[in-house]
Amino acid sequence: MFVKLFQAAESGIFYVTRLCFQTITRNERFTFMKIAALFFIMLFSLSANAQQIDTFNTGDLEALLDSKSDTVYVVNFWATWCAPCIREIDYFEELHRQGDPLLKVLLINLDFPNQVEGRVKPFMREHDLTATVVNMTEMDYDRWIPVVHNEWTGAIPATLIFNKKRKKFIGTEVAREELFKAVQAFNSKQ
Amino acid sequence: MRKLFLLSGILLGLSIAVSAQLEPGDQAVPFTLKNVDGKMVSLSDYEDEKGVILVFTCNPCPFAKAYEQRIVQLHEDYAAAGYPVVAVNPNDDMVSPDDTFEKMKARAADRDYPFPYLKDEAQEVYKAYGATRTPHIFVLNNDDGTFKVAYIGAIDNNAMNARSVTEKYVEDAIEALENGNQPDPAKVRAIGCTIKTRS
Repeated sequence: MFVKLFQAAESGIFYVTRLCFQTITRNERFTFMKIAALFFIMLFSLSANAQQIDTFNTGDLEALLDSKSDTVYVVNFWATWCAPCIREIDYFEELHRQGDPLLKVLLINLDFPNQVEGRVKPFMREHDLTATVVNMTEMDYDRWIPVVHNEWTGAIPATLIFNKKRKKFIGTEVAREELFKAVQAFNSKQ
Repeated sequence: MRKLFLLSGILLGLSIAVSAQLEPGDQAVPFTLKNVDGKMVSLSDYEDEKGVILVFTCNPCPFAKAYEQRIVQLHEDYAAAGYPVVAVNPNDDMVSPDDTFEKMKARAADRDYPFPYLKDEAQEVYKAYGATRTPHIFVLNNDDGTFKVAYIGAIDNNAMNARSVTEKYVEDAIEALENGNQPDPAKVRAIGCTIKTRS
């Protein structure tokens, strides 16, 4: 849908530019081009910030944990109201931005679903989060907490690093070095 | 030899920490804590009741907020039947500044709490009970003058939406007690924020 909108805007601008260029001076033309360029930049930055937060439930979690691919998954459970989660969230974003095709960072957000628009999306903008964020909609937590790890009490932050062979669960706030080391261990043992 | 002492000391410490968690069937731990009205409230003040719904909760936690109205409702539904709510705020207000005594008073007044809202200033009561979350419920049963833990855990199985609840654990526990049975389940995972403490 966004692509279509983009195309429409593009052709519209092209049309308007052509019209204007016939009647305006060179100086004005230059100004207009600057405005047009600015508009494009805005459009692009808008698409980069367009936040998509999919919903996530017990079934999604089971499917994820059952993954048979070679990818290393780094799954972090967090919420905007959880101070230690916010302290560590940049490390996960940093991991994501390394762009390793065999590494996938997933931030499973535990704010109530009715807080996604008002709290979670603004938080993502503020912290410039580009890693995938999903919102847990399964409210019977007792159904899915044991699915993640049998040692987990449900306290956040919590992090699960896994691939098809093994799992590492971290049930506390994690330091940057500890996180990167843990991920590195998965990469080297593959 | 010294190392051995140290090791056994650590092990002993661990086992004490573990045994501090109350389990269903255990005797409840007596307490006396300051209420938002400035008066002291003790568990023994309730000796004429059939039981007590002891709720560890706090001001800012989203789960505590989501359950707040349901906690008030529990009191309204069960106080007259002999199971009043007693709420205890276990958070250290240095770590959680929204849980100061003043802010507890404001919240209790603002929301018209029909039950006492006590401050666990020394953070000893929640530890004695083994509460880990806000909210964390302990249904106590008055067994011939001795309070015993009958149920530990969540209020129900949907924190966000009371209308989507399919398991009303606390209500079912009281129902069981009223019928002379032990609650089943007697222990359910409590869902909420961690209790804030200075480590």
